[in-house]
Amino acid sequence: MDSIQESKAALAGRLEELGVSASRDQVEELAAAYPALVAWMRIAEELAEEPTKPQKRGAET
Amino acid sequence: MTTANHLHYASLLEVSGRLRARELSSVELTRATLARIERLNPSLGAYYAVFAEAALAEARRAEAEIAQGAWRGPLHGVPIAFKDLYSLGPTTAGSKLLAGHVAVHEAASVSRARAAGAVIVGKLATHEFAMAAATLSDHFPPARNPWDPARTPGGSSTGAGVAVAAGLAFGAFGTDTGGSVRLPASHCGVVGYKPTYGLISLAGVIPLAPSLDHAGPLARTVADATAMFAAVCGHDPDDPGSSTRQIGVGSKDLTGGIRGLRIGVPRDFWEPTCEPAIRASFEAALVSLEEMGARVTEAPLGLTLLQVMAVGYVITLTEAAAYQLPNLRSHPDELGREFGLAMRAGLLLPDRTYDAALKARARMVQKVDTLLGDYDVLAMPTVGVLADPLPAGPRPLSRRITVNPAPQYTWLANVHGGPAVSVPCGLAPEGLPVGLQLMGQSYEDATVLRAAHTYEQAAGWGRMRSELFP
Repeated sequence: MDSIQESKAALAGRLEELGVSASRDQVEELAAAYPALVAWMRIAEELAEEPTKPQKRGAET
Repeated sequence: MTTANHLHYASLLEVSGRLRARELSSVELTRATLARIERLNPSLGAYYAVFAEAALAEARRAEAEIAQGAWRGPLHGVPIAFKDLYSLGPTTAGSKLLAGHVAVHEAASVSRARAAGAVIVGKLATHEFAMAAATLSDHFPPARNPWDPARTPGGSSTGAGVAVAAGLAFGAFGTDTGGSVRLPASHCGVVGYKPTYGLISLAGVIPLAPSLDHAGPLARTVADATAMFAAVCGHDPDDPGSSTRQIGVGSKDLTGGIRGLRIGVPRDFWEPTCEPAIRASFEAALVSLEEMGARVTEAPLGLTLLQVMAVGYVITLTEAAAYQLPNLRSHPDELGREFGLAMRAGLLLPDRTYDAALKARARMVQKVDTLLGDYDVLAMPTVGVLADPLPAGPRPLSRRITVNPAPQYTWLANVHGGPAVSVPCGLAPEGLPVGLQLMGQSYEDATVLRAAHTYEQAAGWGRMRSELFP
């Protein structure tokens, strides 16, 4: 099993744990979109970690 | 008495004034609206359900009340409609899953509109559960853009945009989680207003993502949208997101002009992803705003469109997937392909990512608030592309979940929570409408509406209509 097949199996397994089925072609689509989903997750996590310093009015953000 | 047959493109307030003066019959106006729906809906697909008999009964009652001097307000006797996410009679959310479902209780804002005397003519098309794009192969036929019926009207409040743009209602209520009121308003050449979060009750509205969901009107003019908002706004203890801080906004708040108004333009946020034709209309709008006396200046936001949409979508997918989990388990085949896949993607997001997205959202609110400390209003195009052709079938998930998302500049106001209005600002060379979006600080709805109204009055793009549906 190569790593792509492995990741598809992992995605299907995570849905199955929640009691949700996914057909083979649905898993293919989820796997195709997954890198972008991970990119979104990273964006959210990076923004969340930005220091919360009080901003002055008019300061460029 | 004025004939109702040629009033289908009149503004809500125009017909309201004539109804109040008894120059126009609500029954005749409703009959004319129903006749136009019967004639055009088969080709435009705006309505899923039409309540002809009930609407005529409401019109008769309104007419009698007005005759007795018991005028209830600007909606009294005027035909309007609701997106099929509001509980009212047959309520499907555009999903095969709910085909045949009839709501037992009415949504709070429907009841408020009814109490204001509105004549409710029907339920309007929507993207499935206010998310998946409508396609030509859907269970429900897709609504079509009156400017080019081969194209989408924008969504998810598709039917609301079409009904107002094609003269099939004098106003419509939609919902807006990432832009679903303002996007169809922009693509259909009408006004769309997303109020500050929590000002219109969502009790009885089928949710997508409760922390981002808003209710809001689509209308032919900013004044009409303001009147519709005023008729239904107000705290509702049955809606957990309802704000206890309420604002009184009415037609008096629209006057006074915009001389000296500070308008910031966050080009770093929208410009890199905007098509040239839309940018051209937007730049012309900025010139008009300056000519009206506004002080228009660059206002860097420090956020990219991708950052805002990524955070907005992580929140939306997580909240929507949690709500839909029972349906995914028990009726997976009755959800549309695109929507079902998006919900499965939402289930793959870990809790820690949702928590991070909420923190990221707080940072974004802080950035926008900082900017709005120096500006009264932020201006940008509503959306950076023209209306797409209607897809033949479900779009691949990677069309939605992508690092190059469709440039919907509407998401910023949902993530922030403040008011935003889309108002027509031009026609692209393809003959399709372009929208100007103005957004402001939470609860400063009056400022945003006044700016939009002043622009609309002076710029001349208001009340545009497609020649395909005279």
